[in-house]
Amino acid sequence: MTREERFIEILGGMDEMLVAETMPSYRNEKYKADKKSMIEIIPEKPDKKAVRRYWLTRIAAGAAALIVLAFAVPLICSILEEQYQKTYIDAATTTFAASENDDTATLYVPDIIPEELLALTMPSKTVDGKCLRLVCDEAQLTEGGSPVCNTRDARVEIADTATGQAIASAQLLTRDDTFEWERGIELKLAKNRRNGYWGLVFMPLDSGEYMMTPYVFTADGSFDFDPYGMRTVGSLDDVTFWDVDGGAAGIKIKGEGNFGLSDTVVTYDDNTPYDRLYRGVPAENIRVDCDIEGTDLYASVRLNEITVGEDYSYVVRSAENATVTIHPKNGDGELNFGEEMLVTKGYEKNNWVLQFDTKGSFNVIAHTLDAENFDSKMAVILVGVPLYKRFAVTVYAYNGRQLERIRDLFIETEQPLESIVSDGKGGLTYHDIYTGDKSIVLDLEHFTYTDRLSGEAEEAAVQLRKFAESGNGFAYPIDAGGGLNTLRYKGDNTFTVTPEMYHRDVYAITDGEVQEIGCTNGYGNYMIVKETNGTGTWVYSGLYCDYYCAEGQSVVAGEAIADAVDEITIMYNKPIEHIPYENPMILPDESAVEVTEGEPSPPESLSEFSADNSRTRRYLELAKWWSDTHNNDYERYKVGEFLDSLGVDGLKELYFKGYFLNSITVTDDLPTANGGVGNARITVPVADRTYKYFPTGYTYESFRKAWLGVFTEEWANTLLNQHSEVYCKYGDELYCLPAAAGGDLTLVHIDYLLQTQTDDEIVFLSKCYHVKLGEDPVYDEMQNDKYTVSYNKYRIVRTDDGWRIAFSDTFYHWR
Amino acid sequence: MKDSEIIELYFARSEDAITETNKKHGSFCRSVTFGILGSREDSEECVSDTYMNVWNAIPPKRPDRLGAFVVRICRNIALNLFKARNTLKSGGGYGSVVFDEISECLPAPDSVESTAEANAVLKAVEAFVRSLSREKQQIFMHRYYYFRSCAGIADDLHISEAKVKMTLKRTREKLREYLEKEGIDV
Repeated sequence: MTREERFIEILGGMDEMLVAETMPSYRNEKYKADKKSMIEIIPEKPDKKAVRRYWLTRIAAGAAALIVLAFAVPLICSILEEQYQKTYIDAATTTFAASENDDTATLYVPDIIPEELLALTMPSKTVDGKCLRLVCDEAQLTEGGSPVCNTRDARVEIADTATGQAIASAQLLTRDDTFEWERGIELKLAKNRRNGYWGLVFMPLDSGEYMMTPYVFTADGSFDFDPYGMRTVGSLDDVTFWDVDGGAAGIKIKGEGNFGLSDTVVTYDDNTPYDRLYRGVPAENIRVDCDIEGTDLYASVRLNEITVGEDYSYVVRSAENATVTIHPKNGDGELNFGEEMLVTKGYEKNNWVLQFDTKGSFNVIAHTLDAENFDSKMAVILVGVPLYKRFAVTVYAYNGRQLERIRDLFIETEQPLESIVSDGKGGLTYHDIYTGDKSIVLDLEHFTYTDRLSGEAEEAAVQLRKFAESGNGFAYPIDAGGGLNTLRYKGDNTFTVTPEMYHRDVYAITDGEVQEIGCTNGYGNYMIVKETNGTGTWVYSGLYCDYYCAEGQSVVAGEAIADAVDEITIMYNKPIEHIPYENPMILPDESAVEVTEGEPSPPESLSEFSADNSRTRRYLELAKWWSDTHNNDYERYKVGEFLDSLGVDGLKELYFKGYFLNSITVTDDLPTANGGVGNARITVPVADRTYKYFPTGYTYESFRKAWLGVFTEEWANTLLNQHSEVYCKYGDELYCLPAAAGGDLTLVHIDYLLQTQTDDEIVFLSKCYHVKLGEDPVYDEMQNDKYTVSYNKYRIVRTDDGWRIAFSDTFYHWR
Repeated sequence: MKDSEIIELYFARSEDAITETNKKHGSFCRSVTFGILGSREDSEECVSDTYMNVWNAIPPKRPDRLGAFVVRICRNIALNLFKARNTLKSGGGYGSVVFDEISECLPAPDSVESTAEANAVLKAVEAFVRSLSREKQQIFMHRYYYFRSCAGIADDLHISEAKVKMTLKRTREKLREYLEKEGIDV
């Protein structure tokens, strides 16, 4: 027994519950057609022999009946031949039709079934001694007498017309279970330029259009349908073969243009979502050669297996099919002196897609660099691929020995590729319309570059320096050459890097050493931040992360850093200092405030704001209620429970006060005194916008004091700074701007890790598993990979005034 | 008629039990056997044999789910016939295709130390299937338990055929990884 057989046999023992749960709803109408026959007579004591005997008897009776009725066959045949001019009869198979009546389930022998029609063949015109033909072994007749064939009983063959023998056979591919012969199925065959054949099968649709399926017969004898070439065409006349010298180069579809067909057999296993017809690039692959001046070499970019996306852009789906090569000018082009994968910003590992608009020009140029120390053959090859309104230029270098892609050196420019020129010093320059001239310095000897997009690097350095000087840190956008990345300081020398083009956070934990990168999904350019231990030196670098970094794959991170650190080093020789923020809430120039819609509250009517209020208690109750009634983990409640378990009084209440304070910054649940707000509205210009604020009835100072009663001053400022536009002081009163926030995730499980617990400090991590709203909020450990996971860190410290939250991810809105 | 009522007919040794079983589950059994064997005649023979087996099995057995019980017997009979006729890899139906696909699920023979007991394999596969989403479970089972065509599965689940194929491909890869991780060879 083979392993496959054993496996299938083992599957047969699967739990009955599982089998039942996954059983198709087969009492469905469509299965009725399968009820072709059923024994009518159940033996008194059913046994196998009796059932077989019954069948043999019936079959014999049926055969006899057919013989008796054979006189009618010629008549029926002649009628049908007239009806179906295109139907060829070349074989006979004996079978029976059966009753469609589910209730009686009796074997039904039809009055007359012309044996010859039960097997049908329809050939195409002969081409070069061959024809394409559609064969059905078991056609049946409808009540109206039309022959109908199950798709699974039919096949498409390429046959030798002289002998009638099939050369190759393939499954018939349609989008219906059955098809009717009388509806004008059409077959077309043409010899192609690859010494093979292309066949087209046209199945009529109810709409009057046709479903066209291409078939490919290759020179090596393989034959199959091309499922991705299927398409609906208006009429048969809309599709013709596109004949050029040497055979068909493709097909022409009226109104759509010329298409090439695939030259190889495509199977279902290739799950390409793209149409396999090649628009306008039929039998030729794209190859662009570029003379490398001063050498006897060409730099060439080759794109093979090109498909065309729905937006008519070229798509290359395999890294092997898009290459940059070096080959001799006078050779046959096959001699290869170096080959590298062509990479652009469309790169995705494991799902390699190079896609670009056909309207843009795809180009390659090469510069021979003549600076000292450079080999005479040293060349820099630039490959420009249209990217939206710009070029994405990838840079390769060749030194006569090897070709190498210069890591991550993408350039986006609206200028022609030719505008990137050699500076004669081993580098290239190009003009950037946004930032002015930039120089790319290449160290071609080692094939590494010592700087990249220097303007951005400098800008990033400035930002980093600002961050370091602030001591608190918050988001800075940094363009790493592959999308906007956001660098955020999380405290404790820990950073979060969020590539904005993608959805998942990447953790670059840099407490002296890189510990982990958790890019849970997606690929792209990420920023890595590292502090060299103890020197106060900051090293940051861009990194093209083309790894699939699962959680905890520190090896990957380490390798990546090892590469990246060599690339850019920015020195910051100053220890981090703590410089607290000023009050981040808006203290507007009162002369700029315009009071509208009523009068401000008189000072004596203002109340004192407190985080220790009914709302906080309600959150506590609500959290418990939610957790109890939904039978799942509820983050807030669980955090509270966890804090209780630490044996430190008041931590849970502290947390919920923080939760309450945080919540009112992001929801439209305004803090209001005395059951409602006053009637005044003030408008305040903030930056280039104007906000309208509502009075809260609380004093401004009490609100700020409430925050400082829960958070450390530093962290309170950080949090408030995020929403600085939400609060405003006018007179003594706190004014507030309704905010709105919302998530689309539901937390289903949470894990904790206590990192530190001393008399003065508690640090713990949480790992939260979420499902999207609307999904079943049930946690199943076996399906960990399906959840959206977020990591949160909490740090609570003892101050002179008691415990305060010094850091809390969940209150900080990273995105 | 409800499954429980049909089972009672078997216990009463009423021949109507087979008629009712056929009415309710026959078409699907044929679909499964046809999927494996690709021959209507063979399919009918398997279904007839199935009823014989069910008749002989009930009583004493009293299956909780008659449909699953019948289909399981039917599937096993069809697979035995499939093997007996040496149609593996060359026969009709989806059987040979499914066998080809199954080979993708299995760890390389030398990637684990020894061949696992059937029960261990079964438990592992069951655990794997249960870890899948409901839709993926259905797609996997329809294909490898019921030997259904991708088009049929797509039609049943109201999803595209391409999605069925993609899901199957990914599930096979995951299963292989899972079995490798569990150290299970077949």
